[in-house]
Amino acid sequence: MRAKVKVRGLVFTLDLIISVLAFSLIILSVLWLWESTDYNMRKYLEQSRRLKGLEQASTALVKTPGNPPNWESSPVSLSNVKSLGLAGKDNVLDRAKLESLDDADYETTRKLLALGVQDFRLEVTGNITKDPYTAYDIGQDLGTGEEQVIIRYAVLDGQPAKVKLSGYYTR
Amino acid sequence: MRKGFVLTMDAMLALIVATLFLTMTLYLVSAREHENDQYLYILSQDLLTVADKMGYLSQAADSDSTNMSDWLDAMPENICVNATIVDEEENVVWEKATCEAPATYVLGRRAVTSGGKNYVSTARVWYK
Repeated sequence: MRAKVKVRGLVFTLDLIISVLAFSLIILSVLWLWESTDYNMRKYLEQSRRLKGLEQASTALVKTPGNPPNWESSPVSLSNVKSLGLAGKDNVLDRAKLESLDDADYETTRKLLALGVQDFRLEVTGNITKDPYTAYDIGQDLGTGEEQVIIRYAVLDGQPAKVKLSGYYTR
Repeated sequence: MRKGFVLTMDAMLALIVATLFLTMTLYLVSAREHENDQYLYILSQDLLTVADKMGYLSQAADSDSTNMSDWLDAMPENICVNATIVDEEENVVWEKATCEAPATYVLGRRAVTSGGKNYVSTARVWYK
């Protein structure tokens, strides 16, 4: 009768150590890539959301008279005005509305433009093809944070005008 | 001497999956290039609407394109525009491009009437 011989294998061979190291490296790389992609995706979505907000605000300004349409006839407040618009007609700016917006409180205007936590600056340049001049400069440029800009075109006093709406994100 | 099969069924499946994954990733990455086409469309509409309200489109249709040309030159520096005015017989009566033609662009259209005739103005807009 032959005696039983126990044969034990070496678990931690050099091959295994190298493969575990390589596998760990791959897993860590994937985790890092995942985190990085997730961060970039969230940042991109947040930027897109803010840009969309600026686009919608600029469209409301140059294409609608606001709500109520004669909002400029009374002081601008959250109770008097539901939404802001500067257009008498489609892409034709109304001086009286611009004057009223220029006189309005910054924080009230910011809330009515529905820009969320963004600060804003609205620059209207008149007669842009012949003799450009700054007709209005409303809001504030904080000089910090991430800036997004939407440029729209309209008619002001019978001349082509540029409406530049900038959003500043500092949070 | 024993030889192994390199391309076994497992390896082929893995290759197909990896190729699919890579293709999808490249597609998603390239799709981001068109993230702000909506703004280009808005810009093309603004461009044509203001040109119409200022009378630049009808002037250009009547062979006086100075104002329309100045108007296109006033667009932002990073934006290229190719504007055309086409009559009812589809003849191009006026055209101006501020850059070389691109592979992709966003198209805006607006109908305009001048001297009793109907025209279609188009603005192809893209980033420089």
